Amino acid sequence: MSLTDPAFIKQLDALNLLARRVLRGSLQADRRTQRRGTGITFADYAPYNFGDDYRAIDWKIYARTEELLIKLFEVEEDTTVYILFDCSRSMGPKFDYARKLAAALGYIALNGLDRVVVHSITEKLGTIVDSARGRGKVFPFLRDLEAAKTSGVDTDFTACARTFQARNRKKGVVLVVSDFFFPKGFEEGLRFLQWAGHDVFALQVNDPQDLECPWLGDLEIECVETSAVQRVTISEKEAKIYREAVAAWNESLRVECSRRGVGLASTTSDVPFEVVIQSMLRKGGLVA
Amino acid sequence: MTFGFPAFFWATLALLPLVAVYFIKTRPRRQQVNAFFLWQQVFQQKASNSLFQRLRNLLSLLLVALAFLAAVFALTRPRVGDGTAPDLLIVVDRSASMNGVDDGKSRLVRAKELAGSWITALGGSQRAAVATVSSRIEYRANLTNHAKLLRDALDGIEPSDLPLDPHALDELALLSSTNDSSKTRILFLTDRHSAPMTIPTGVEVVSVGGQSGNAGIQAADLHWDAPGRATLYASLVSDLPEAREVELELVAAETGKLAHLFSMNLPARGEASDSIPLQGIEPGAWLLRLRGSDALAADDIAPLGLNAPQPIPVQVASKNPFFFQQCIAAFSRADSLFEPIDDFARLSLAEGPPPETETTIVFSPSGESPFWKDVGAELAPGAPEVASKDHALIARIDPALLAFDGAKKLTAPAGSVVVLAHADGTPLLYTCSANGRRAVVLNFDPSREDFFLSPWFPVLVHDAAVLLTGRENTFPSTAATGSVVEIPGTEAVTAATLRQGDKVSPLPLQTPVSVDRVGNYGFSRNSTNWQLGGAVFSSGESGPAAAGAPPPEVKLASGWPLAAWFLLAALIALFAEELLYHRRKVG
Repeated sequence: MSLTDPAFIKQLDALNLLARRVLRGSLQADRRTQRRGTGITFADYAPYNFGDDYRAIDWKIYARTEELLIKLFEVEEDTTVYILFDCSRSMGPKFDYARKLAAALGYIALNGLDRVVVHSITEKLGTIVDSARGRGKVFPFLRDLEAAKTSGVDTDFTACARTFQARNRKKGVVLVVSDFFFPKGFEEGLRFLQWAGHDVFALQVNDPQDLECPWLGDLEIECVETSAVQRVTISEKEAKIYREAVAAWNESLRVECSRRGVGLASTTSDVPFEVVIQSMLRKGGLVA
Repeated sequence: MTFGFPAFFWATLALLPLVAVYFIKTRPRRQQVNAFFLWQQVFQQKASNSLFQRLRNLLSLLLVALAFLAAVFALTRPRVGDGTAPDLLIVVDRSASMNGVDDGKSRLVRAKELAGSWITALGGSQRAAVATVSSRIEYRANLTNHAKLLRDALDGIEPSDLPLDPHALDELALLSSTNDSSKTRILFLTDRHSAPMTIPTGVEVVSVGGQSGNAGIQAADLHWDAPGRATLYASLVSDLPEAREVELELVAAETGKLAHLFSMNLPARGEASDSIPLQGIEPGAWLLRLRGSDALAADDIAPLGLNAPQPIPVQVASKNPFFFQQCIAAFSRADSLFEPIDDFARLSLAEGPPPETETTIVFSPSGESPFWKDVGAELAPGAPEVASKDHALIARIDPALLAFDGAKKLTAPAGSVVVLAHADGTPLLYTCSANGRRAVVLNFDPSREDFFLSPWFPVLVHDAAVLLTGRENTFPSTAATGSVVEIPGTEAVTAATLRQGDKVSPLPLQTPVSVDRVGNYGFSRNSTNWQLGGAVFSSGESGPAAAGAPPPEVKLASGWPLAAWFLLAALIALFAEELLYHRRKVG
């Protein structure tokens, strides 16, 4: 199904409506931030300091406690959503699935009047959608995303993250859509992104065959990226060790994200993408 | 080593495409993986096995090639030696001595096992036949290379109590004389315990067991001396290396009650015999047993029959019965042949028209009778002519001494056997039967010329009586297995049984009877009962083995053929390759 197919657009509309309900209304720059400032949505109280806007003092509190407290409001701002989309060859079997996820997230962001930038991750950072804002950019965004292909021979997430940070000084939300099977690791990349002040969110997409090992016997396993070949004999024993290695790798991702406060959602390509988006919206933490 | 079908070696050329196919087959399929670096981690742990991994495909090829070559060798039917594969005629001795046990296994079983190993070694390219011999040769399986048929024939060989007939192998002489020994080998498996016999040229004797010592009863008899008094005769033979005193017991066959116990001194590899008078012994079935154990149990027992006197009920129908009655009384006293009785007599002694008894000895035929017709005038005296030479009725008399005074012209009924006849052809002494009755007709007047007082009168009466009643032969107390015995009497046999220990088996109601098993035989006719013992009674079977040097060792392949071992090697190699194949394909 094409990303510009009406049926797919219809699915995205449904997801967008759900996103509106979750976000309770306003469409303009309505993404919550952790920065406090002027706005209409109450966020918290804070002691009054010299230089604060005295209009924000809550006099009712002062009447009861004789303490000057000011009301803080969430800053409503125009946020940039960066989607770092893994275009390495290892994404081959789940590439279309990941692209739909990215399309859905970008569609919701564009309808929320956020700015959307899509970068590709291979051995170096590429650009799929330079910058788009507003509903009018939905179809160019989807077409550009659809035109993306897998490429590269040696995916380097760390290098891509470093390049991304250099190119994009404006802080925003960074969505990394990938299987996170980066031979050189993902820790450094996540650290760079978070260090730059972005709200980082990892969306891990796995192929069920990556988690299991349905092949047994003599095989020549070939790396889809580097085309390296190794002749092996896979018995149940080796299959079990592989499953344990994959599980350990994914667990290390979970621990790393948890340690850094990076949101993480893991899914497999056999789960309908809209179910994943709905789940993410309902759990909050990404767009809500 | 030689090969039955060396042309199969051309099949080794098929190795070339096999190797090619193997290399195609062993090329593993390629599988693209996304997490290649994780797979590398997995197999870093198995690096120590890399040498085996590299050599495994070569090993697999070697195993396949080995299996293939072994199969080719199996097809070529390799043989040890010069490779000649003559047909085999395996003749198994199943005489009584083959029941002998050496080291816990009977000689017959050993012979069957040895023959079975030869059959196993045939390997399908060689033929064999199976025969057994005791009293005669019996072919169990004709020439075939079908191992199962041959093995079934071997399995079907049962032990027998018959002695080995020294002439039973004579027919093999003809076979061996016309046989090229390179085409057929005749193998005779025997324990060499038999009566002296000449082994036909070309027959290879294979000795099976027979080393264990044995002592057995080679002859026995039990007969009446007088009412209530009998004599037991026993003769033993031994091939034991030392002299010994042995005990024998006479027991009742049915109850096992001991009647007499005695001992005999048996010399080393010799014979001994003794006669024992027995008092108060009853008629019936008896067992003479040699106590102790030895190689052959069958000859340690001699079943015996002691038959009660069973006289012929006889009556006299004559105007002058005196001499007839005296004759009956004399034979009644002497050997209980007759028992005078008026009612239910089976035999009548008569002058003129006879009474309607089952059998009749009739003198002076006159009047109407089914045993003659057209009785006419008296014939002129004259020397009789012998019409049936060697007839039982004239076996003990000189016909020339009989005057046949008073003989009349008459005609014997059709089917009569004329023994003596007048010069004009008139029968003077003849046997005939009519209406289910049988008669001996003596065509003369016994009262003339003092015939009653001549010695020929009782002789003729006796011989005619035993002829008519089927008592010609004395019924024995016991008979050797393999012999044939006529049951006395002319009535139908109504019961026939064989007792072996506590087991009683029915026998066919027929006579004569073949005594082929050791045991107590019992026979019944309407008016008589007879007991008979059947025993091995063979000095050859019980005694020492045949004299002379033991036969040369027969060289013959036994056990599984080489082809079978090559086939087994092929299967093992294929199995090993299968393990590797399985690991390659399914891990």
